Amino acid sequence: MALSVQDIRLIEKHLKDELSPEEQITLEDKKKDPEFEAELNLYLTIQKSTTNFSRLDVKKDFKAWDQDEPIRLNPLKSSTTWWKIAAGLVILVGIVGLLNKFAFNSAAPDLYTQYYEPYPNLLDPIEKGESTSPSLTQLYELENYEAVISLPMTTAVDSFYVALSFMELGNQEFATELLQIFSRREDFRFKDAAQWYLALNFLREGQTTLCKQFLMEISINENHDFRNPAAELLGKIGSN
Amino acid sequence: MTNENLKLLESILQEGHQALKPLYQEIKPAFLKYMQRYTPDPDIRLDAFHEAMLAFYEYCLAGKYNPDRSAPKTMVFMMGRAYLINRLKLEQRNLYQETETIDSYIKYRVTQQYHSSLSESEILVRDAILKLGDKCRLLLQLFFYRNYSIEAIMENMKYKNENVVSSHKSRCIKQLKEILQAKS
Repeated sequence: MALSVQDIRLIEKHLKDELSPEEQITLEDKKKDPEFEAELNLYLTIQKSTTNFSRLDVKKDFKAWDQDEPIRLNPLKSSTTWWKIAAGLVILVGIVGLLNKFAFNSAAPDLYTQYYEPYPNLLDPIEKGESTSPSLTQLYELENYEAVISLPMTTAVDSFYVALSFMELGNQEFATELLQIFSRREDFRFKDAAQWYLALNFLREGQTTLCKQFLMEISINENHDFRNPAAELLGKIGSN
Repeated sequence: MTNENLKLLESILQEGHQALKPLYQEIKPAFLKYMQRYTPDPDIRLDAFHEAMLAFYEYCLAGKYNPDRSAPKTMVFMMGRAYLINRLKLEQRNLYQETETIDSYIKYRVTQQYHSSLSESEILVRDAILKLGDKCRLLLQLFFYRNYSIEAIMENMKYKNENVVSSHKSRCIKQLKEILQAKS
């Protein structure tokens, strides 16, 4: 049976912390009714979930604003002394540098798309007709990234595929954090891949210096799995 | 000064987080520079700035910010500092664990990042909300996150009257329950 309008109103006031002391007592009493309690829990869950994705929206805009910072210019006056001329030149060089960076940033999404591919499942690739419940890495292969990140990780390799799934889901920040750990582990089976994807992450985020740094390190390592694409990409970034 | 603080608060309540942009761009350099005393890592400082701005925003939405008592910049700095200190403390503890088992450290960080706010059922509800139409999602966001009254929702979303808002809200929640039932 659906709750009354008054009951719903009571729940909503509770969520907004607007209950009077008498209403608080009424609420506690009504919680003994399982149906009321279930509805209350649902509303609490809706509030928490809405907060969660709303915060992601806000943070997404913060990151966009980080790319969008205004350039402040000081106009030179007619009676300039030598240090004012020097300051003007520094500003000019800075503007040119920024324009180059913006050019890089506008090319970055295209380069990322050109060079990014999901990493293959090298552990237990799905075979035709396989019907048992998929492993974490198989879920990654099936592009079910939400499922991947909700599974428990039992090995470092699992964690690596979780990092790649975060990348696919657009959580670049966290993917970077995880990949940085793997990129430093000498004994890690997919260390080369971690470094490559880290470079791609930095490319996508417009972090030029870090991207180039990683690509440089990869391209000078003769035994690196991603040496050739890294060198190629570095060449393209360098020409932007 | 108080007038400016009040104007900002009113803008935030009316326009949402977009009203924060001028403040964001104004105080970001000083914030990042100030927090260097706690960590040289620029990514952690930027994260702290984002968290502080978000915390200030939600403080305003909850009706707790008093523009007469402190300036927004002061609030953001205070919140950012508190977040940074706590985060650094936590990470130092966990970095110690990293030398024992890197996998348990990674597990902790992923769990903290993804699951810290949401349980399994909360994730299901979140995913169901994202399946609702744009109008329903906005209505729920305004009510549950931005703490709008029914009257404020009526004005913002241009409803005819408050009864229509309440009725639409009930329909959205009913739809949400149907999505959840279909999944279970």
